[in-house]
Amino acid sequence: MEHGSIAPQGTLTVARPVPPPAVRVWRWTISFLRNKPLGAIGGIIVIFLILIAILAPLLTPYDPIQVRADWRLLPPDTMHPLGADEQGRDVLSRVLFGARVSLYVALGTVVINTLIASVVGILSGYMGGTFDSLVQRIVDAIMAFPFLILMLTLMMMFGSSMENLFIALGFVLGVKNSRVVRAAVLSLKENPYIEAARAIGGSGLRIMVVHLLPNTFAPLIVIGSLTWAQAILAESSLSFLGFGVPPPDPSWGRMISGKGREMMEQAPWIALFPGIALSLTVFGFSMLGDALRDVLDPRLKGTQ
Amino acid sequence: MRQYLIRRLLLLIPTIILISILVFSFVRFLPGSVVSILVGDAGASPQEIQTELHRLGLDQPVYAQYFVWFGNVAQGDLGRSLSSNRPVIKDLEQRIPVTVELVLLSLVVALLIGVPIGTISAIRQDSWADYLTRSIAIGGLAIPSFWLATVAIFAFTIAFGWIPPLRYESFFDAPWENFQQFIFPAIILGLYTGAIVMRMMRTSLLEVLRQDYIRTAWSKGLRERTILVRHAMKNSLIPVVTILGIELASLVGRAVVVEPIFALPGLGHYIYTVILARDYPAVQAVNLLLATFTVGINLAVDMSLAYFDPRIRYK
Repeated sequence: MEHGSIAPQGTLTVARPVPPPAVRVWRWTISFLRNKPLGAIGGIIVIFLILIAILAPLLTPYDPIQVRADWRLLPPDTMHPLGADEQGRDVLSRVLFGARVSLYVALGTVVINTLIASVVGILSGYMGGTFDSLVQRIVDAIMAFPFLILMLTLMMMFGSSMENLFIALGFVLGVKNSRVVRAAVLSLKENPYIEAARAIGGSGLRIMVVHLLPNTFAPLIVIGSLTWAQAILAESSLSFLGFGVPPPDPSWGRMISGKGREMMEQAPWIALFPGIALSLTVFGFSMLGDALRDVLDPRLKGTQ
Repeated sequence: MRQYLIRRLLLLIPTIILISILVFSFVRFLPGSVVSILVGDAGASPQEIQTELHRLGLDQPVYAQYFVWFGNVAQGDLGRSLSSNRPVIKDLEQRIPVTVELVLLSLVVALLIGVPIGTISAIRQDSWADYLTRSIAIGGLAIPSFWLATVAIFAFTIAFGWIPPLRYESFFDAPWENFQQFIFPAIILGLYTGAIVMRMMRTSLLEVLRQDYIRTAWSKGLRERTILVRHAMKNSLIPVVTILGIELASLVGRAVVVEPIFALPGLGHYIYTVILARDYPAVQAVNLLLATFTVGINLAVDMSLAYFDPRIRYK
């Protein structure tokens, strides 16, 4: 028995005290900011956006859905920094409250996506055999549909609402991402500790929940962080096409469609500002997601 | 190679069957009875509904209905559109060439943008040019194409007095008008793919440039140009081709946003129209067609990779 071969030399001799969790999180954050400046910019944008979404009612005196005939198509001025739209609604208020809508749909999508990706991925990867082959063919079949067209079809079937939107988005993205979890489980289950758990009589359910699930957290965080950007982009595209967030809730995608697009010449501010907010948001989440992926799971680098 | 092909083809059978079951069940999940959706329930007596059910074969068990439907599809009968009251296949025949032209032109745009910029980014790694182009690429991936299209049309209108054409011109009747109609949507659709190609080209070229045979080429005293063009780029293009195959399917899907904005009567515009009209047979047909197309593309990509890289065949 050579104990020295298990760990690199030197690490066994000195027992360094493990710093408390708060300090470890802080150190990790500092090193993340230093090594991934673009990810840090993304993180700042994301924090800024969350603050806007929470504080939206305090940041603007106007109601985002209230129609005021006397404000129709007002150009930007000090009262309405981003102008008013064709129904006399304040564009700044709608952009600010639009952040709420975007984040709400994205949060729902990420939760359902993570749930489906982990359950399907762990079950399929751990069980293997016929069950795995069958599940993988179903995943193949669902992934064969072009994403936006499948989403449009699902929304047509179940009707437009924010809840239906994030259930459908979370389901389709979760099915796709279950592949990543399954791949992780396939290599995890070859580890000796899984064999040991089975040898002492651990049930399949126990092994999956207690031993496999915690070890898939890194890929799950990576999947989750990249899903934010995809969900926000998909929500806005579907709202643009009229199958996403139903009126009267302000959605950036819908603000760009319809009248906003038709009136680009007379009143460009209606469609211009939600687009900028949308692009910045997607940019922030992708940057943060990319950086987290590089840090947490270097093998996945450049896959998406 | 033949064994690999046979294995991949056999795996296709369950996938295709599952796709057809999914498409078939699209209409079954709808709220309300199928007959009221398919025939409209305005003032039909129970007797009439019964006849209609029988005529459409809806009084049979669901699995029997599926086999009848699948049999029809296999013979090229994709059903009759509710909105145009013509066979869906006739509608599609006019739409497909438009989307094929748009998607191919977008691929050309994507390659023209992605390959040179990705190459420069890789050979001058970590220079300002590298950082600049990578930032632009990431930005390009973040800007939604429907907004970019909206702003671009606005800008073209002001700068060139260009307006989206009202009538579609076929390439064979009026090549120049046709090109004018397609080039702007193709650029907008292709930018996103171009950014993906660029990232892939950069990563894969960086990897190839670190390999031993490239060092050998350097030590032989070859010029940088020769090493790059003759030795490195050939190999680094393999993953780019793979990603182009996958992106081809995604381009068709994203055409659903761009085609209506630019008034192009393609497949994307068609599916958007039939979804708005709740024209279920047409929605089913287009979904089935596109999913089968994706499966075919994936097979073609796998086959070409196995052809170029023998290691894949023996996995």
